[in-house]
Amino acid sequence: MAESSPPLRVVGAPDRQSDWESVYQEHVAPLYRYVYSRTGNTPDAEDVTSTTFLRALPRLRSDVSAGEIGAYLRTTARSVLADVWRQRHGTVLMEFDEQRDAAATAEPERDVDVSPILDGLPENYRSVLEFRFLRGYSIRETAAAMGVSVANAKVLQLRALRRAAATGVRHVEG
Amino acid sequence: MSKADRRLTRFVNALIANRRPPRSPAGDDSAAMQVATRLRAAHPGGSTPSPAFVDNLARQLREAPAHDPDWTEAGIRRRRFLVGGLAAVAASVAGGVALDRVAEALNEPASGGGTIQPYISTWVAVATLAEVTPGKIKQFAAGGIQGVVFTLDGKIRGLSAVCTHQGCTLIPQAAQKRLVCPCHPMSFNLTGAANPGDYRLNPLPAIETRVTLDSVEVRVPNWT
Repeated sequence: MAESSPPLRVVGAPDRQSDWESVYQEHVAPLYRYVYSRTGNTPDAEDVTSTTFLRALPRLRSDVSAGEIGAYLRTTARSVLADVWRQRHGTVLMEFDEQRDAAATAEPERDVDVSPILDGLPENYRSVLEFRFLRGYSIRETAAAMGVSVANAKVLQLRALRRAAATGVRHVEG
Repeated sequence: MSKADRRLTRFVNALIANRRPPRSPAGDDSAAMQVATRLRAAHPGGSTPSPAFVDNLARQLREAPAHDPDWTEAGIRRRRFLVGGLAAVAASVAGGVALDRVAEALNEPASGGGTIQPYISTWVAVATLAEVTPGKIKQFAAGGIQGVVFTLDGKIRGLSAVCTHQGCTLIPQAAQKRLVCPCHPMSFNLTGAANPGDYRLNPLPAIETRVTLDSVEVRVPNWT
C-alpha cells in the first residue's frame, strides 16, 4: 500500500518527472497560443510548439525556476520561429515584430489584438482584410461581399497587406 | 500579377486554408507576410491546441532521454562543433533546425548559426552610429560576448566574433567585408557564413541589435 503511493515532493529534491508533467500541462496551452499568434496555421503552430518544448526540456529539467519557465519557453519559441522564417523565406523576422514580442511577454495570454494593424487603413483595405483573414472568406465570397470583381479583390488584399505593413514599420520607427 | 504578387497570394491562400505557407523568398514582402500571419491568427478559433496534439507531445517528452542535452537535434543534422566560450553555448541553444522540414534539413548543410538570445539579457550600447556607417566594422565585448556590429544591406547587424572552429577571436577586415581567423586560414563573410576554404565550419551566430538616438545596442547576457 505505502509503496504504491506517490512519493512526497521535497523542496530541493524534486521528483523531476512529475514536476515536468505539471510544468508541461500548465504551459502547453499558453505557449501554443503564443506560437499560433506568430504562425497563423495549425501545422506550423504544432511543430514549433513541439520543437520548443523538446529543445527547452533539458533546461526545464534542471535549472529553471517556476517563475521563469514561461519566459524561457517564449524565448526558445522565438528562436525556433526565427529559424523557420529564415529557412522558409530567407529573411529575418521584422525588428518591429521582435519588439512587440518583447512587450507581449508581459501579457502572453492576452488575445491577439489586430486593431493597431487595421486602424488607420482606408475603409476598403480594412474590409478586405477582415473578410479574408478574420472571417476566412474565399476571394469569391469577399468580392461578392464588397461588390467588386474577383480580380479586384485579389489585388486589393495584397495592397491592403502591404499598406498595413508599411504603416506598422513607420509606427515603430517613429 | 507580378512574381511578388503571386508569392504573397500563395502565402495568404495557405494561411487561410490553415496550411503551412510554401517555401519562397519573402523579398520586400516580409512585413506584409507577418501582418497576414498576425491577422489570420486573430480569427476566432484556432488558438487552442487539440487534445490529441497535447497528449502526443506529452508522450514524446516523457520518452525523451534525460541526460543528453543535444538529443533533440540528433539525427536531424550533424552535431555542431562545440567550441569553448559563451557564444558557442548560446548558439547551441538558439540554433538548430525546426522539425517541420526534417527531410529538407537532411539535404542541407548546417543551418544558420541562429541568433544569440540570452535567457536573461540586457541591451548594451557598443558603438556610435558613426562607427557603423557602411564599410566599417566595430568590435565589441559585452556581457561575455565578443562580437562585431556593422551595416549590411542598409541594416545594422551584429555577429559573434568567435570562430566556430576552435574559438579564436576573429579579426575584422572591413575593406574585404570579412572576419578573419588568426589561428587558421579561414574567414567568414558578413552574413556569418564561412567562406569556402580548408575547413567546413558552422556559421557565426547573429546578435540582436537595435538603434537608439545616437548609439547601437546589442542584446547580450545580463551578468549582474
